[in-house]
Amino acid sequence: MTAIFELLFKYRPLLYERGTIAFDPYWPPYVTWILLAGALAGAWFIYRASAAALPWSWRYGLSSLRAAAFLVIILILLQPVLRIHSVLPQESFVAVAYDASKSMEIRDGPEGQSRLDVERHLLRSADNPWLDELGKKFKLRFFRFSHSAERVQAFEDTARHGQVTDLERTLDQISGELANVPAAGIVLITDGADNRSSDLDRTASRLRARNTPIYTVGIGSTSFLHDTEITGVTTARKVLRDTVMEAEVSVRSNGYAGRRARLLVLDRNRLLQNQEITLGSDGEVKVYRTHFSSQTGGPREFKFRVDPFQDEIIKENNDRTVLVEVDDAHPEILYVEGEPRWEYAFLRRAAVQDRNVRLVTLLRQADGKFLRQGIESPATLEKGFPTDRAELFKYKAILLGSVEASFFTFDQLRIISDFVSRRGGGFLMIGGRNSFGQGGYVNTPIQDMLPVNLGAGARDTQGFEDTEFKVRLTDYGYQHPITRISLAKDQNRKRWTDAPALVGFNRVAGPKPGATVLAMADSRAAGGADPVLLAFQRFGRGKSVAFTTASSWRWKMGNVHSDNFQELFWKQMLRWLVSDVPDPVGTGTEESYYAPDETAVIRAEVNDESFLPLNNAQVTAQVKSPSGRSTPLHFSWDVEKDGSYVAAFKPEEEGIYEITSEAFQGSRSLGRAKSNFLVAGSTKEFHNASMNSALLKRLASESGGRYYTPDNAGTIAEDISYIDKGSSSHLEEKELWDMPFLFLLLVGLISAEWILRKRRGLA
Amino acid sequence: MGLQRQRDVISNNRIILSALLAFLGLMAAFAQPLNSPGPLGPPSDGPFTQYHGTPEFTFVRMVYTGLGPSGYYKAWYTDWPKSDRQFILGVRRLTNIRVASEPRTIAPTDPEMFDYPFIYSVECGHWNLTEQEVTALREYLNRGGFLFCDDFWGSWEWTNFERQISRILPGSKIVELPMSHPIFHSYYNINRIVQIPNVGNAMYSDQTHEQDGFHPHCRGIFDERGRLIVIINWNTDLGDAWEWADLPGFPARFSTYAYQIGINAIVYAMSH
Repeated sequence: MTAIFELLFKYRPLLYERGTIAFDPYWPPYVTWILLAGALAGAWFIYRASAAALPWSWRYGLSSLRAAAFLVIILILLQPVLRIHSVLPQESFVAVAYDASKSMEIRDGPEGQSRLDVERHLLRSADNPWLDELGKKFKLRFFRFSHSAERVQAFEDTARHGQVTDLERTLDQISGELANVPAAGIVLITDGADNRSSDLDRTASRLRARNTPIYTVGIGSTSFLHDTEITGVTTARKVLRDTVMEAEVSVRSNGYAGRRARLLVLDRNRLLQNQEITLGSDGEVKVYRTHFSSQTGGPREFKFRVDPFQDEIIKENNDRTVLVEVDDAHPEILYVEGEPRWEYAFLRRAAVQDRNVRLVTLLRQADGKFLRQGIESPATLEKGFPTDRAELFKYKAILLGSVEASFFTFDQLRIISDFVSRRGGGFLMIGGRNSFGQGGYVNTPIQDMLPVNLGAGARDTQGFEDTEFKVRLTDYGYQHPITRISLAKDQNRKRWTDAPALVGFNRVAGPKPGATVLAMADSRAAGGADPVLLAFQRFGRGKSVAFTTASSWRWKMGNVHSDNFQELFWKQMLRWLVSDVPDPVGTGTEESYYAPDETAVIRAEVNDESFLPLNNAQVTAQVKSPSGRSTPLHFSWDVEKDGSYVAAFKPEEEGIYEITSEAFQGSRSLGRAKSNFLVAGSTKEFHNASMNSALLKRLASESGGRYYTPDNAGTIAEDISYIDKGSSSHLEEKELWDMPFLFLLLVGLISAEWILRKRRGLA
Repeated sequence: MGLQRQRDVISNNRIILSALLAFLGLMAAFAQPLNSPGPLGPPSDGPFTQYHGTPEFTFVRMVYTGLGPSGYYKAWYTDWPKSDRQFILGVRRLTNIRVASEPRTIAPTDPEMFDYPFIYSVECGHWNLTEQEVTALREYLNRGGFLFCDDFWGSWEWTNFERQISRILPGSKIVELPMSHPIFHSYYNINRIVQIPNVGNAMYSDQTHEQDGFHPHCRGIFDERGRLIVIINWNTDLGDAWEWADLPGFPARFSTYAYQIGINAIVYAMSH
């Protein structure tokens, strides 16, 4: 297309984009006007004579063609020129940056050659003259990059390729190097498989403002013919010991639509899970849920793998490793119950069996008479339900049983709401005659928080239903960590089908729009639409769950004693409620997994005991390397986020690092936090490794440059020469009168007129 | 002198019992539900209020195969049904528990037993359980049920009870419950075990024991997780104290203890 354009208009489109068209006639302007008027009048008078023989439409048509031909001749005589700024030879600098990351080893070239081979060919002047041309016009600076840019003398290959591609950092570094010299542009030769940058658009805009366009050369194939790839794994970074973990594994495949593959989960080399998956259509990313657990505490490396096919181009991208901290903590959960109930007793029994959860309970046995259980000291809950935020916020989840809203003061209800929205805690309301709408929670802060609608007002509230019903899970319910009683899919369904019937539930006015329903009461028994039995939603930083029955104890009494259905349900419920609930002081790295040459960015979040972010804290940390060496770190406050502090750490060895950070206000310690990160040889470079032409095109256009493939990279030298304007440039005028298009147009107009005349017998 | 003292005691007991009944009546009068909704919606069903729907707790008496023939005076139905009904009244008045107005009688072989995790058995020294009863009771306790044993006396009945309970829970150990155990403090603070005599002895005699059961005991059996699953009230007759609590001459100290230990056991079962 560009070649046709160049043939017709003499120059390539880029020159027209950057230049301006002007006229340089031999005569003064009024002569042009006379000529124009003469041409139009002449065209009209020529056909006036034959007016009688020709109808009006023919006369106008032929006159117009003649006039157009005259105008083209006048245009040629006006001497059109293209004015364009061109750089002065050897006055400006051009950076030539080439990708030396691991993804360049991928052999997806047209003849099976690696991206590195293509790059080598492109950058050897013996093979490609464009570099010589560029060198004649500009002073060249070469850079090799992966996670950062490194100045080199010329193209040179290295034995060890970078495990990360960070285009943002690379461009920032190059831009810094060119800051004090006139820069004409940056030639960026890469596959664009960036896996680190956060805001490349900002970098491109900055370079445009500095008149340093980026000329990107995309190397590699934009899609692979035969490949399966784990594009991402989403799982909790911290879980309690013995928790059944859920991971969402995103798999993209090409060339294997509908084929079956095995998805494996390994704890280092020990197989934890092996499930069959059906791959999606070409390019489709399908998400598969998998479940696994680890009995061993501490930081664990879990590897997810899709067993590769024989003919896959890249086998390295079939693996993903994530670091999960299996925590041996004992988070506290507060359960307030308004009356002695079997649900309370059986829930407590289930919770007591889980040594990683501590259930603190406040049971109202009679008006003003309470039984406290699971308390740490006699002072705990001595005055009843906490009125102080700090006292309540030490818990990680709150359970409300059959306790009416008027049991609490309005302030306490608001504190519970803040507990979830601001502190990020978990909340569960259990069914009962004094729960939900029946407990008077309409128009309270709790109503906003619940995942179910309670109705418009107290008068709308329906009574507690005493019906017997079977529980029916939704599709998602079968997979959710709370309701997945068995890891095996079929077994899970069977256990839910076989579970004893329950009795009694709070009828609510359906789930809220943002809520996820996990279980319903079977409509055949309950009558009408299926009532919501178990639903949850996010509320602020935390999560809120509604379980509208209080008869789950029947799962225990109605099943053989060896069946642990009821215990598992509650264990999973409580663990899910406290999962990801933050502590006042928290720490962690931005990524759980770093390549050896990367810098780990460590963050700390500091709140006071009421979870108000603190900006005046002092945060320190010790980073313990795998060999046991400790390095002290000092954090600085991140001005962009309240209560957030940041520090950087450059690891020197591979393995699992442990961060122990502590925050102080003056000499008072606000809390300590621990976290881990992994430094290991990475396969990151093989993920999302197809050539990202969209990114490279955007980068080029936003910075004012152009995008090339290796085939058309030969014009780079010329393209860079013509710039919008600059201090080291001069103005060039390129003649346009002899462009083939004008002559073809003239010939076309005259020929058309002649053919028409011939038809009417005028020739 | 002795007769005068006994009359004084009966007179004192009448005064105490009348005061207790008047107090309960007064509380019941004040506990009527409010008609107007409060600022946060309708008022709660707090303690001492009426409610509707399925109750949370039903007092269930175990119907078992005993040693004696039908109509024998020591059997599952001793003190039934008045004892159960009177006890229910006390539990409803004194706690927050939604107790069914009517007690039930269920045999271990009836699968319905599993709907009620608390079961009361009287005259346990006269158990002569069938194999089906034994198996069902074992499963009941293993699933989370709680067995309340009452009103059996002396070494002969104990020996029979021990033999029967070991059929239900082979290898289990019966232990004397220390006064620090939560069951003595789950609702009321009970500091000593009281020997409650049968109604005849309570009203007309100083004797509190029967046969050779001179000392009252409160024993228990725990499951492997440390939860008390069977409470054994031996050499004492709680059932009579519930049954005759309304009798003007029945000593309040006996009925008070009987209600206290009964309520404590229910609260314990429903909270542990």
